[in-house]
Amino acid sequence: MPSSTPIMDRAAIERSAPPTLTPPISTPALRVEGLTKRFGEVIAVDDLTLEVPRGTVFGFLGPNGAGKTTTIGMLLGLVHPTRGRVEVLGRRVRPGDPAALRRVGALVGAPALIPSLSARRNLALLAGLVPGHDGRAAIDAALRRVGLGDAAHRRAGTFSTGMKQRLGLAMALLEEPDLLILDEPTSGMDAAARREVKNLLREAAAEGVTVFLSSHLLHEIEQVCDEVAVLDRGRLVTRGPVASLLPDATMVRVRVDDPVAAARRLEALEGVTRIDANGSYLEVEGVDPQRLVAFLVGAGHVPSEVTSGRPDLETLFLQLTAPEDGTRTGVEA
Amino acid sequence: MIALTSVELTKLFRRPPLWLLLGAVGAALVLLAVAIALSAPPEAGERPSALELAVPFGILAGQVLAAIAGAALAQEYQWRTLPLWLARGVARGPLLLARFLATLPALLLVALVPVAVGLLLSLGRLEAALLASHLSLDGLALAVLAMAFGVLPYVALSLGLAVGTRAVAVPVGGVLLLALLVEPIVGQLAPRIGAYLPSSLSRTLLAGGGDGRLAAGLLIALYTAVLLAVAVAAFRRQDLTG
Repeated sequence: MPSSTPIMDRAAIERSAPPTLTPPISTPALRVEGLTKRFGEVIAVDDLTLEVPRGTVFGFLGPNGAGKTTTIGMLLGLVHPTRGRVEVLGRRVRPGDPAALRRVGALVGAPALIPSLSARRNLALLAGLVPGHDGRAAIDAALRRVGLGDAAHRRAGTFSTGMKQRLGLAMALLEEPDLLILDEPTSGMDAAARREVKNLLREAAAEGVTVFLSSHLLHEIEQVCDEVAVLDRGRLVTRGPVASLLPDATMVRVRVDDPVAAARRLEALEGVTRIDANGSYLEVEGVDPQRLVAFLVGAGHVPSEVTSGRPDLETLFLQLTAPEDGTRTGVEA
Repeated sequence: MIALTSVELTKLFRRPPLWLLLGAVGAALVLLAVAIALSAPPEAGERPSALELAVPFGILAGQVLAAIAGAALAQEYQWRTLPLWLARGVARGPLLLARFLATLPALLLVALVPVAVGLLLSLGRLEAALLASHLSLDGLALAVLAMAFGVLPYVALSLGLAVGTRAVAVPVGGVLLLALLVEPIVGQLAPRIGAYLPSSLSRTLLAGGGDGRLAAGLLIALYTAVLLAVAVAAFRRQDLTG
């Protein structure tokens, strides 16, 4: 497993650091060791070990039911691990004693808000959790940052889905956290708003904030994340920098009349490492486009359309999380 | 803890249910007093005064407030504000205790409103001087405190039901079922057992003598402490997924 920096004596950090003290920069923002969660006979998360370096934008992917939400719940002290430990910003997270989470901002699932209160009042309640703190400036800054400055006094219950999501983001950004844990932060947002959020996350990372991001929008993850981890059936199947995970091989996409028959013929072509039939298209890796087209023409399957490029994160994700029986009912991170 | 309680107070007092309840209690008491006054002539003598009516109204309103407190907590599971706060480093035990503490001033208010309305209605019926000579402000204050205190087990029960089920209907149904159905039935069928249930203890607290009042107060405190401890323990063990 890649690790950015040597790890300090964690026990010493736990003993010495008061909750409000920022731990040494050399500690990872997030460290998970042997994390396991069972619900009866079902193993939701199985021996997960993970480290997220500070200042990175880290993508956390997996299909439905992979254990992402349970993992995030354990990171945030909302779910009791069956086994293993979670450290956030150098301090251990224990459900019921989550002092380690005071420098963490989170948006998990649908944004949490009280519909009858204004956006400002919702944020004020959250700011009020910090004793003696006048959160007005922080609230204004958070609302401006997510583009809700003009809607500050509107009741949150009247907001559109996208606006509620922005308010949830403002809550996560309140008090300038050192670590952001976000689950589907752009859900319900239009394209322009999603772009703003992407920029916002990159800005936050540039300011030293670590972002732990779960999203089903894989192209966004690819654009914004430095590293990703893929979880499947509760187990970590891969992790690392996005660029290093994507194969170097070129993927060629061709449209043919009979993809299944063409795929059978292609199995004989030397160098081919992967063939996927997808509707009337074939996706082929390991062979250059000219050779592929020449082979198909020779085999009587003249392509009507040919495109080529590097496999993207979505392709990698589908390969890594393919069901054992070959069926797939939905793809989601 | 102070900051947390202050936030919980804001949530309780800045939302409509509490004020709707207070308005409904005051209006219902006025309507009932007017109905009694119209139906029985003053010389009938035995008709209850508005102040006497205030006590059952105050207790019932307190029980409804207890149900609302539990419903509001269950609602926050659905709004996901509870996980949000816990994920911001708020400990579970203090969060639930803060919610309980924030209910106390609202309970006092709910007990005070019918007494105040009853007092105003009584002023309208009697000579002010005559009323003043019979009125004990200390007694009224004690009655308000006793009404609020007597409802505490219902608040603790309601919070526990909300934690246990995360459903709005359960604390509302549970508290009202206990107060309006189970306790009266047990009181009728098994008076010796019924005497130890919260509503009977509450009546003893309001009307009983020295030792009886002390015992009732202690039992109410015990009920409250046990129910609250169970609610906190369940909350601390809970997995907040989904």
